[in-house]
Amino acid sequence: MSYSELSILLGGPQGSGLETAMLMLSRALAYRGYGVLADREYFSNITGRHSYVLIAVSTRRLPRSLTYPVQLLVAMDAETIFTHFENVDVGSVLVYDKEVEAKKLTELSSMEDALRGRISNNLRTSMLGDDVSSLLKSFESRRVTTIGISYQEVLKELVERFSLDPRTLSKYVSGIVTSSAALILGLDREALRYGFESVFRGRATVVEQNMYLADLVWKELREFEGLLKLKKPEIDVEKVLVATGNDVVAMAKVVSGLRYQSYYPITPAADESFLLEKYELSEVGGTIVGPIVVLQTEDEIAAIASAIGASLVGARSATATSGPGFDLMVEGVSWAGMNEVPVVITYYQRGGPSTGLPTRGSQSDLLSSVFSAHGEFAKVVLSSGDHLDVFYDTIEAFNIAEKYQVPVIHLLDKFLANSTATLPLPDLNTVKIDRGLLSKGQEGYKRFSLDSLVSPRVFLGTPGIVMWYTGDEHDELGHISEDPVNRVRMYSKRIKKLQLIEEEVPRDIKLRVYGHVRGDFCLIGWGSVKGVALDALEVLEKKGYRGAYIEVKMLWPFPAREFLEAIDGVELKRLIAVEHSYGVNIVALISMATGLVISKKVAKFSGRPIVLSELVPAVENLLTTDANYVVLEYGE
Amino acid sequence: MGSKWVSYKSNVWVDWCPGCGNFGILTALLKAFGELELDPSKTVIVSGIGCSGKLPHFVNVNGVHTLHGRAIPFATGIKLANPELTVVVCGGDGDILGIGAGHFVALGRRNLDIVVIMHDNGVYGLTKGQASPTLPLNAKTKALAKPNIQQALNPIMLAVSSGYTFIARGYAFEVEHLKNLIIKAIAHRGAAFIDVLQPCVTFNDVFTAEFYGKRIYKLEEDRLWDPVVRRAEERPTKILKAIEKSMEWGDKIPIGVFYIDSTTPAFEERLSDRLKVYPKVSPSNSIITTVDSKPIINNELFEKIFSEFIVKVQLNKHDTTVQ
Amino acid sequence: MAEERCRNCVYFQPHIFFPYIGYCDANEKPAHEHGTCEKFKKVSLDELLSALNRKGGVYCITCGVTIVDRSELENHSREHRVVAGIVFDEAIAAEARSAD
Repeated sequence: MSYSELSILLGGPQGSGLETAMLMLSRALAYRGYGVLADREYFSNITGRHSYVLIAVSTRRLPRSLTYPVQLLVAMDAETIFTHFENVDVGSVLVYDKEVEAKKLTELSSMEDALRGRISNNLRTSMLGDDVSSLLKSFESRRVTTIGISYQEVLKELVERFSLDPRTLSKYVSGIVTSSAALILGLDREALRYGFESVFRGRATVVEQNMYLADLVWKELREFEGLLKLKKPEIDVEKVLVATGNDVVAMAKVVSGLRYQSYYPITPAADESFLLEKYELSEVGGTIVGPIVVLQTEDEIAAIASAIGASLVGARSATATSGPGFDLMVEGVSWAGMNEVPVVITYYQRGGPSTGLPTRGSQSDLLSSVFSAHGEFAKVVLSSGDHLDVFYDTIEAFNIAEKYQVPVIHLLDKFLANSTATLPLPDLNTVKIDRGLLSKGQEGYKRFSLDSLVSPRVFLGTPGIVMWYTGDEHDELGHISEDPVNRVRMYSKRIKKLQLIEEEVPRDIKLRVYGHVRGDFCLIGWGSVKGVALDALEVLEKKGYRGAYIEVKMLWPFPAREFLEAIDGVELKRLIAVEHSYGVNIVALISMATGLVISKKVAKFSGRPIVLSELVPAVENLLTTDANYVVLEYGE
Repeated sequence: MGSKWVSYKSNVWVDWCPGCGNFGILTALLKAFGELELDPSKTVIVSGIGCSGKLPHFVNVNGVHTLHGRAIPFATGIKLANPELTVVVCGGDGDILGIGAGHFVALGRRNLDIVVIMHDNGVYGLTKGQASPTLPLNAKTKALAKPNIQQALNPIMLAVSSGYTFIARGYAFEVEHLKNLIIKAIAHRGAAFIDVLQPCVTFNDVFTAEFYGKRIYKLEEDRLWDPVVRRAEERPTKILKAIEKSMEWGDKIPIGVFYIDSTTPAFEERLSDRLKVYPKVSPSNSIITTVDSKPIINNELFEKIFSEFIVKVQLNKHDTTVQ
Repeated sequence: MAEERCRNCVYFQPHIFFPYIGYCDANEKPAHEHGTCEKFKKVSLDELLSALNRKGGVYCITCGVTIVDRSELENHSREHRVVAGIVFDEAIAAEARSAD
């Protein structure tokens, strides 16, 4: 039997090689032409707590969503087997370390008590013992092929053969995980070698040792080779990017001409700035790209303040943060609004309030970003639905910021930030850099000239020109003014830029419609809901429901006209809003902008991504019953 | 030279209280700019909030009047992105050492080439005279209902431990002396700090012009006073001397240069070790688009620069499975 | 009576995740928990206390925590597997996610 789509879960203690395994497997799969989407789930912890990767693999396309149950579970430890016992499909495959067979649930010190309690109850209800071997037995009744491999034997042989330093074991454990998954999926060893090489770049010995290890795994598990054989891939791509959302933002910022990035370490944003540092200056074929000054500041307040400072002198500048950091930046956003400063804030949402779920995903900061900062002024909030959109939108964020001289918040989330995807290479021929209305100035230059809504921008430091900026209300020169007449004109000028943005920003940046709007239902969402919503449309269509997905990309100013056009003729009761939050708060924005009150909502705020297998029944439920609000909770 | 400094005045009416120490600081700054003949378009004053925050508007060079406590990070972005600018930060002691203390420390750690002038009047003037971080414990200025319950910090000592490489104290009404300090601070390459004792006529009836007038003396009058670090090995000794001197506060209050160290690399130099083209090519003058508004990175360059993320698909020819 | 295997030897430092493999302090080379050698020295409370004094901490494998206090060590050592040291994997720094 062969498969065109599979769900895979790799689990183990954080720090034990999972990250490397995910990268190697994703790259090996991509190399052979398969599409991969891998969500990384981990605790706020450096090492020891349970961590896992949920992977969608497809032979037909670059996957957009994740789903349960999984057909392959590779468990590095007992905790993974206990935790994900219920996530595996009938007829699936489990690969585990034989050494853990005797482990009991009560012995897992790293497991949270709440989960232990739930699992314990489930085991009791199913009349199962609380050790791994009991679970293994019960798997048999679910026709799960359980494949034990003695990590100990494999590692022992490896350590002895290569006199390995035990401090490096994780590197090889990731090799066991990757090799066994590859073997079961029917990947060949050349692909596996590619996976090893692309991760252990320049470390030929480690690659060879891992290949030796792969041979051991192959010898041990030969009978299971191709047990979940993937079909021949039919995705028509010659090259793909294998990258996380953080990576994609960094790449796009380099392309966009970013020249200053400030940040204060925070999850899930910090990886982006780390990567930018690596690309702060490139020289390729005589072209110098950069320099990008990447500054780790003393706090987020300094991050936004210094980014604004850099923008004043003409650098494309940005900062990246998450909810707690953005909260600190808000006064700076207000200053940027007051002084019409183009600056981009890449905002990766995570679970709040407060520290909340620092490593888990959420879309619960929609309203707090749209309505952030005191006073009224123009700012733009953009969202992106998938990795490729993230790329183009990042560049668009800078274009909008500079064209309208406004702060732009690019609202992403942890799911996009941390998930690794295969995506097509962006086409830079379609990309424009729009720096807006720039001028070299002239005698008597007025930075805040009232002659137009967007005043010609001269960079501070331009020869012969002097200008003032102030957070106080100011006149055209930028000097403090409390004059009521000036106040009205200046205040209105800044706010009216919103109308300009509404009129001029291309429709495709504001809102996108997928599927059949005048069908049975219409999903409405934004950001990382896109992939799973689009896949849900397909599944529901097969079940006899035709539907559409309306993706609101520009969240502020809200594209009311486009939204109303999109849903023209659709009954209100057929609209279903979907969001990773409690309130499904896009509904509030829509209501504010259009007067329409959408009552059907799908919410998820467990910190885990919405998966296809739960969204489909949720939508069916809303379509066939009186239910108005469905809360999704699947995933550990 | 002479009255050249007058041209650095803007047309905005200076709305500080009559007799305010800020007038002295402003005049010293204007005179220093005049003497250095700074290009107004290549000079920028960045300020925070409060009475001192308004200073940029009174000067005919670029001015950025920012948020309370945040003048230093705004200035940091400005200076890093356009290193050819002369950047001067003006802020009160509440601004620099209260709400903005973290930034003050961070600038020292970076030793970025910025001059910080702290208008040190011991009170929050524009909000009616609350106690600020330099007002001593138990001091009772007239706006306070009860004596100050918090201690003062020692700005010079904090600057030393933060890593500032030029540290001085001036007095607002010793204009020539302060002007010379500002000139030296601007000439210094690295983070410079001048703590300027500044009487607040309206709210601080303890640290008045009369109070300071009787106590101030100039460090340079002592011919043995040598605050200059000439070799890195001298740093510990000179740091200790600066700290010791900074604790002198009573009948005699020293003003002048406490510490100068030119042996610690400025942040710009550290950056140029990493970014080879910097500061000549900087964030503000580097090219980011082609003439037809395309990114300078085209498809071909993209693949070269980001090759680590690109996987070239090699279908398995031996794969016998069907699609 | 415990077997004279590395697992029960005070010199054996197990790997943090895969405790059957580790490092032998006496022979200064990798070791396996089933190994044996003439330098075997049984783990005892005294040995652990001495390690605690020397290193500042010992590790309870059962609980997954570091013990820095004498009386705590006494409590753990009664029923748990306590070791004088563990092998901390060098990949952890690279594997760790930004997580706060």
